[in-house]
Amino acid sequence: MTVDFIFESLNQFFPDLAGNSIFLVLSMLIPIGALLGFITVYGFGVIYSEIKVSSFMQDKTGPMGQGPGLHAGKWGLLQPVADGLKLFMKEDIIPATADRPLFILAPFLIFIGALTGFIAVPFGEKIIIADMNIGIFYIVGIGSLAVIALILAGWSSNNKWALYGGMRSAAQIISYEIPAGISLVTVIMLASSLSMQDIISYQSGGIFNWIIFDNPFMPIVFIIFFISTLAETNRTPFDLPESESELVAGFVTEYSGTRYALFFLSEYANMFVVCAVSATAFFGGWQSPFPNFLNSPAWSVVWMLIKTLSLVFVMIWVRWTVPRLRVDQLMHICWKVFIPIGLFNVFGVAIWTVIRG
Amino acid sequence: MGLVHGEEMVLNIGPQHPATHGVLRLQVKTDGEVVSQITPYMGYLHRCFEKHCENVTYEQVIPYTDRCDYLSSMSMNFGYVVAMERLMEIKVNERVEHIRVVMAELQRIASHLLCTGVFGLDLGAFTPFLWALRDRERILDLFEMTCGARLLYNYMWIGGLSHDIPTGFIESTLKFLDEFEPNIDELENILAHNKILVERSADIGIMPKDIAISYGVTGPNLRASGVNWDLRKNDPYSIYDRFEFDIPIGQGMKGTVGDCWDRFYVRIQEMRESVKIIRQAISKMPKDGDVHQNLPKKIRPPKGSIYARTETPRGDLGYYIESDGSAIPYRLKMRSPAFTALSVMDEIAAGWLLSDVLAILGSLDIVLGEIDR
Amino acid sequence: MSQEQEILIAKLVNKGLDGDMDSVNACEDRIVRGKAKAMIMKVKKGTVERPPVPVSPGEESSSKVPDSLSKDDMIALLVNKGLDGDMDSVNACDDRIVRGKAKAMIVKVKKGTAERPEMPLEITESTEDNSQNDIKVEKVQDPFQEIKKMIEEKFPDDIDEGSEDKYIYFKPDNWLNIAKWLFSDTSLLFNSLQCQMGIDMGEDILESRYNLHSMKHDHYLEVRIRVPRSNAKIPSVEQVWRIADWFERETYDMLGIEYSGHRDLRRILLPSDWEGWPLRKDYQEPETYHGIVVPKMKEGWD
Repeated sequence: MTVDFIFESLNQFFPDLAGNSIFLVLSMLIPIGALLGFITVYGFGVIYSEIKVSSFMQDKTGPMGQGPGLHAGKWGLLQPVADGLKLFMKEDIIPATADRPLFILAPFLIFIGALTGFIAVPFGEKIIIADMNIGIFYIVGIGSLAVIALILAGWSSNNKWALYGGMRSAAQIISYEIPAGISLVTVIMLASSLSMQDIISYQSGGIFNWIIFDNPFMPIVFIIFFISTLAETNRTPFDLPESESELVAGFVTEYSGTRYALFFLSEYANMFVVCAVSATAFFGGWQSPFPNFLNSPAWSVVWMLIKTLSLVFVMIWVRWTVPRLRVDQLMHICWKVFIPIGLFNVFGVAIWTVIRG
Repeated sequence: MGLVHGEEMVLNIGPQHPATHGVLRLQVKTDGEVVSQITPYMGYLHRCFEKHCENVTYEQVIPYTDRCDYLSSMSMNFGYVVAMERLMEIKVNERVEHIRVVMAELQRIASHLLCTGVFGLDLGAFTPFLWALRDRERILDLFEMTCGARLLYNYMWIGGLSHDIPTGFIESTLKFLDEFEPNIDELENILAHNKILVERSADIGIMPKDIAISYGVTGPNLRASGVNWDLRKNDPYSIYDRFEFDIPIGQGMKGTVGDCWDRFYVRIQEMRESVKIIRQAISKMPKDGDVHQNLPKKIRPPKGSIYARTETPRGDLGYYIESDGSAIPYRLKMRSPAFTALSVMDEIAAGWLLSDVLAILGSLDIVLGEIDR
Repeated sequence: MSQEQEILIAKLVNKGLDGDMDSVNACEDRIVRGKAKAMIMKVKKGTVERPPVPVSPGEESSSKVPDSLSKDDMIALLVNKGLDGDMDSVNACDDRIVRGKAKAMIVKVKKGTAERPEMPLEITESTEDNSQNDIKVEKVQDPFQEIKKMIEEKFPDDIDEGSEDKYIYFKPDNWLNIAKWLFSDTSLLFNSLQCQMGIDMGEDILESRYNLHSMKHDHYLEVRIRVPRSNAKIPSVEQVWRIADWFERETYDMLGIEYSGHRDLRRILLPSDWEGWPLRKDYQEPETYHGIVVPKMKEGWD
């Protein structure tokens, strides 16, 4: 939508050059540039909030500064900037016995997987980079690219710890895609469409039309989906692949500097994408909770961000509270608990839909 | 887990590893994720403590004992001083005895806080670790008020103490105890009864009684296996026979008796008992008395040997001192509790998964300084 | 220095060495007290021998008796003793008032102005009590003596040089069998090896000392085994007490005593290619280790 909108407005402003292929390219690049800007700001914000939220939960104040340039900026606001600068200025070490092409490829692959999910996230009625009619399906598919990247990272490091981490995370992500997918199937059944905008317009009309309040199975579906996405993004309690205290640093043991930063950032980007999918599928996306109030395009961006960032906050909260699960317990929960419940939910929602008409 | 066998992989945990409580190398032979054999290699922190003791005088040994188990230095001093006072037949006055008990029990609380926090940290719970450290900081502030040092005190001398407790110490300690008791409950709720932590530690690393006794395991590890043995009650030293406190024993509340959860929970309960002891000691402490009263002018013990044991937070610490009548020890051997606790690692950790090995190591509460000396 | 004072000093010194400093401090005579304390210090240092206790067991019991008798009975007892010729027990009485009254009464009786009082009846009972005390004292020492007797019956081959303290010397050859018997015999049940260490006693002797403890019967035993430096071999007891595995490795590492039958005797604290046995008294530190020179003098420490 956005791409078409920008294309048309460019045609309007420069009518003598209308239809030029450069405009087509520009109309794609401008929203992507805006998106990258947004991702940068979001990256800094989420790293800062992770540090501060965790500090307050741990009964300390975290980085606090006195002003720009001193220590970490006022209230530590420059801390993520300092972190980023430090990581980018580090020496790029590639182990001598590592598999060079794969070692270099892995962080790029995972970053691609995380970022390309953003183009299907709807921020408003016309504010979406690619309004595909298979929006949700596309996001779930692209998210699986991370698996290849993790296995490559673990294997190419030529390090037993990294191998352990890579294998564990591959098993974990592949397994947890199933309950996540099954939960989304229930949403798709209700909305009768795979397109993100269609799902959101199904939930129009105020807070009680949101899918999570639609039928009694939906809260359970949401909980299963949320926990599965914690596992998808390798967050605690499922962060065994990168567990600091057990495997040194898991599959990122051998990475340093910019490559490590890419892994790190793609985890946060992934978090945003899956929280955005949760917000879209269960909480009405960019719809305002009041039926006809505060639903201008600017406000819809605000609502979307509020919902998504609250879910990101819950993810951060959970990370600093609970210990992590062991790998066989993780598998047990996925295959023996979540998948049966998920299938039961699918049947329940289907029967409910048929009965309710 | 036992049907498909792959090749055996040899993995080294450490010596640089965030979870090994010091510089320790564990060579682990694994088949997939299941561990078949563990061989600990130590000696990275060996500083020739026993050889040093043969070259310095008896008073100068005390700072060296601090540095062996640096997380509970007061208890290390206490053990040495009890052994020397038995050898030289010195009797210290009441005030010194009470202050020593207060310091030793505060140190026990501090050490157990660190151990329980680190156990949670090893398993991924980041927040309780910092809550435990917050309380430990207050205990270290109390120590700093008394003798000026936060970690290595050189406080208990043969025949007395280095400094008397300052004014305001007793009020601060009582205030700390009042604010600390609810924190033990908070720590227990978030950590001990957390379902994920129970899954990770119950029924894992079970240490039966006879193995524990045969491997010389003592302290909370032994009590968690169901053996009712605490040197403060069974072989009392100093004035511990005057205080009333219970001995927590592992009962297998969440799993089997002697598993990791029991070892962890016994430490939490011991903190409560230590609070009781400190309150009783403070209420009975004589108001006057000189802590330097019974310091001998020259420390020349009679010829002979002695073996004396005291209860540190990790187990029972033994000092075997052989004296030849001069001012320098002839031979001093420190029998450290963590040494025996680490030796049982191969026995109880073989057959579990790799993540469990780290949980078991965390529950044994070892400090490499005392193992390597 | 009268003989009475010397005897009193000897008594106080013995009391003080037995742990009872209060009676030394309670002595009225400043000179006697000072000399007694000085002698106690010297005996503890080892420069002077402990003086023999100068009283017979009967007087010992009488000096212990005052605690249990009332004051009048005490005076009566002392007067009787003094009149019988035993002035030392009168002088040894701690209570100044009682002593003064007793001495006054002795003088009066000798003069004839007062009658000799009767001996308090509790004397005979208290002597029996005291003999029971003696039996109790022997019982406290008994566990070690009993254990020693049992060992001597079963394994008569031990080098017997420690009898007053709590240790036994064994010859190294049969040590494993002795250890198994100590572990399994039902009245001994030494199931816990507390500490095992090696020590270089000089003059070509290395010793390996074991501190044993029984958790069931709560008694202790120390075993020492002496071997010459040139042939330092002792059977390993790691089958009996599993912790002996690591303890013996450490003793081997530090002192070079070899434990035959140990499944994996190698260095535990030092690197495996270290040369020398550090805790021996004739140990020379190596000059270099893997090319790193070991500095002898610390420079720049001033």
